[in-house]
Amino acid sequence: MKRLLSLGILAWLLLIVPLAAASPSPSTLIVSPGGPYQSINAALVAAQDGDTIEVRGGVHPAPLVVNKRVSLIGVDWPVVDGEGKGSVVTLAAANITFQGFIVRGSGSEPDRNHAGIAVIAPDVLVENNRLEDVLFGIYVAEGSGTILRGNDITSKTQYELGRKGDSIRIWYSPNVLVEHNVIHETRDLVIWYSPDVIIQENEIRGGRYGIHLMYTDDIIIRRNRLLNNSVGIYTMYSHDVLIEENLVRGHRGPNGFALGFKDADNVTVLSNVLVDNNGGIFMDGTPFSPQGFSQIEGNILAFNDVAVTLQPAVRGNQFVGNSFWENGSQMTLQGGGRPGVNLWQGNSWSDYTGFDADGDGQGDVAYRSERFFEDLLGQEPRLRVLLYSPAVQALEMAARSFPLIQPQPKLVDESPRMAAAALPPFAHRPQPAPGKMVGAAAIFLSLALLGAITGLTTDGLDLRRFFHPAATFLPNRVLSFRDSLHKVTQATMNQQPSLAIQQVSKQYGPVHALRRVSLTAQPGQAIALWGENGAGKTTLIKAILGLISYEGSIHVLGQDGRKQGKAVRRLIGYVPQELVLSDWSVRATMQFFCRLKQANPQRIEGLLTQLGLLDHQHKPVPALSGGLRQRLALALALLDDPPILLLDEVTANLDTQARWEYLDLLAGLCQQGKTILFASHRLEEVEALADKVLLLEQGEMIGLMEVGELRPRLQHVISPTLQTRLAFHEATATNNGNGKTGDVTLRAEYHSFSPQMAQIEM
Amino acid sequence: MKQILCLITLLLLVGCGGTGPTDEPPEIVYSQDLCDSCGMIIDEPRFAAAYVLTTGEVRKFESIEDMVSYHQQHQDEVHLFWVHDYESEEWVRADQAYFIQSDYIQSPMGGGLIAAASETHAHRLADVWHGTLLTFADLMDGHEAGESHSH
Repeated sequence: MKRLLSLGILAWLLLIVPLAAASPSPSTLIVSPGGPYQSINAALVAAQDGDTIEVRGGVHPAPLVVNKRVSLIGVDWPVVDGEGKGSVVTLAAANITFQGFIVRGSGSEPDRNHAGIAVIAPDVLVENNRLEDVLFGIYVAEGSGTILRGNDITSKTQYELGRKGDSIRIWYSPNVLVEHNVIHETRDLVIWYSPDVIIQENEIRGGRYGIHLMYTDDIIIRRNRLLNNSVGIYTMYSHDVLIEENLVRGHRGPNGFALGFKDADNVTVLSNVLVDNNGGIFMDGTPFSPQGFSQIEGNILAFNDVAVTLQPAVRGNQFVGNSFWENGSQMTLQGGGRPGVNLWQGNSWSDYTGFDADGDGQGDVAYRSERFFEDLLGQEPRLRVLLYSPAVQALEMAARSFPLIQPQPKLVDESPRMAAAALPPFAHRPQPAPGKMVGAAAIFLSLALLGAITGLTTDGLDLRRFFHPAATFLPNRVLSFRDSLHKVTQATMNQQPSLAIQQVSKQYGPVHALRRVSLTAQPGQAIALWGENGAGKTTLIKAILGLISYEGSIHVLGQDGRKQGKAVRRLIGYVPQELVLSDWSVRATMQFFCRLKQANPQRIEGLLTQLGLLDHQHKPVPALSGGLRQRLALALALLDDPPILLLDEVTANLDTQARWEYLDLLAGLCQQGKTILFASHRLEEVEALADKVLLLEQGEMIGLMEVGELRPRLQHVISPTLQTRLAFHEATATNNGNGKTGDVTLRAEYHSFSPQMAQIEM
Repeated sequence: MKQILCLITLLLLVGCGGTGPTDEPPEIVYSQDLCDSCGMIIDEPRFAAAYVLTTGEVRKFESIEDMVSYHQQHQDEVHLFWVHDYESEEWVRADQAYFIQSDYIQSPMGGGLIAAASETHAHRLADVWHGTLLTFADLMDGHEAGESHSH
């Protein structure tokens, strides 16, 4: 028996060893005009499985059918040209690598799926190719385990989107990886019946459906950039879908959702940024099954016409920890009706008007979405065209005036977050010049402040342009609006008070932030808001800007702040205590804001000169001193040449010299006829600039007085010792002949006027 | 003045009254109109379908399977169903059309359904696509009402 076994092994060795010795090792076949192979097909005939075919430049005919396990490597961008017939390249054997080619000129028959590259075998790698003038880009049919990486794909330019082919179509092909591709002006990236697909870090722009899932489960879509397609990511009849950290921006097609879900289950949507779309998230029949779930968490939905659109029957969604920022409408029920039961918890809402008395970062009263127009919008989506029109404000006002027509809240968030999330780094828009953007928080805060400055915080219309590099021209209706606004301004400036505040009150729960405050300001007048922290100065400024609701009335040049909020905000320039800006240069910042506010760019030069910024125009903003930075903030507020300026503690962080120079600028603006309302803690600043002083204490209006009445009023609360020193330093300053108080700092305790320690720096 | 009031009233009545169903095929604005069933953009006439309700209202669909599925769910009172001849892309009444179902046809919702205006044409398409010939009654009975999804 042993002998027989030994003979068997010997025979096996004799058979196998010569065969193994005869197998050639993998080799590289060169295709080039000088040989050794002059065509890819000739090299393919000669190649063995495992060989590499290196193709050096040239234009090669199609169809190219690869049915051996080889690596085709293009050097110097060889072209495979289909000349308009059929599919150009077909990869028909497992484990093929196809890399470094330009593939162009497929046929145009959608029925035949004419493609640049057709993959019909498993475990193929298609990498770093350029596909152009092809109907479909890469069509993977029953090609499990295929990797599509780093390809640049576009379609036939002569066709409309619907007639173009898909950039990538994955058909019955599980375990496919799609990453680092750039896809533009094609129809869809669509996955059919293909589980366990990962789509990551691609850029997909200018197409129809950025990513479309059909009957496809266990999918991961992460860190992609989807820009200006008709629809961003549309998930239909699929389950176990993770959509994470994608930027989805500018989807403005007929439905124009960033993310859409139809009859989907077990959906997790995490930390995406959905900006400037018709709709942020659309839910129909999702979750689909009673045991299914849908978790929407930590996303930023900003500047969309509608943040979330739900079909009435949709229930079981959890919206947790998202930031809803300046959307035209936060939530709409399509078709109207009553909303299903969904959880809204811990989200931040830019239209939240509650307060956080205990400072725990969570609002103390619930957020309720109950805008009247949103209700109408749900019943008739075509009303979206009115979204930014004055008609909407009129409707909202009517709804507030006649509570009978005020709809029930569509959602209630019992624990709203006070602060929005910072914009994550992946959502940064690449800036060609000048310089890089600073951190995410800076950008997001800048946007928020831009909203305040441009006075467009409630409609977001012009803020959207930040995300629309091409949209630098104004729509005609905006131009005519601005023209008429200018005429109204001119006609009324000399006839009406600049600012008329009547009996304005604001209450946060039991706390009175403002109580029956009245004030009238004329052109050329400067009025100081004086009071300790929490007196109501900033609340009053917010009310004037229309950022919060209030009782009473505020008229700016005769226009009602609530009825004509948009027009009113355009009449106001706002300078906050500190403006967070990018690290662009001064001039670039001015140019950017100029475009944003649709101001006359010729004003930039004059403002740079007027505010002493001309010598600093090329410096990056972070390199500016505090004083220069505040000058820049003032210049930005003046771009629109507003008749009214609101300044909130603008000199708080300036040194003495910078402060006085800044006040000098403001005084000059007053002389030019601008009305200035400013909050300040500094007595000498108020005395130098203000004509009148509005005294506030814990929201109460103590009085409106001439500026000369302020110091005597405060005398009784300043100790005799400090009074003596004040008088001494005033005399010294006068003796110096410069009218300024120098660098001396005195601290006075205002025992009765300010129960806590108030400080006057002089 | 009375005449003006009468005219306005008449216009309002006409405006509010609706026009009832017609026998004309409906109009679809491609790349703009959305499918009433799945919400997707209707882009391809050869697959698109529609029906006109007895009230005159129109429902538009991206695919024949969308139309059949939607009607099964909503049970609308329909005046006429319309589909497109696959090759000519002309409207044809669904009750006068012939239908082909094939797994090789990649229709928008995966039902693999197309229509033909004539029986001869339908046979040819069935040969080309290795498909099955169906009538509209077959579809409405739910025999081949398109893809039923995997939930």
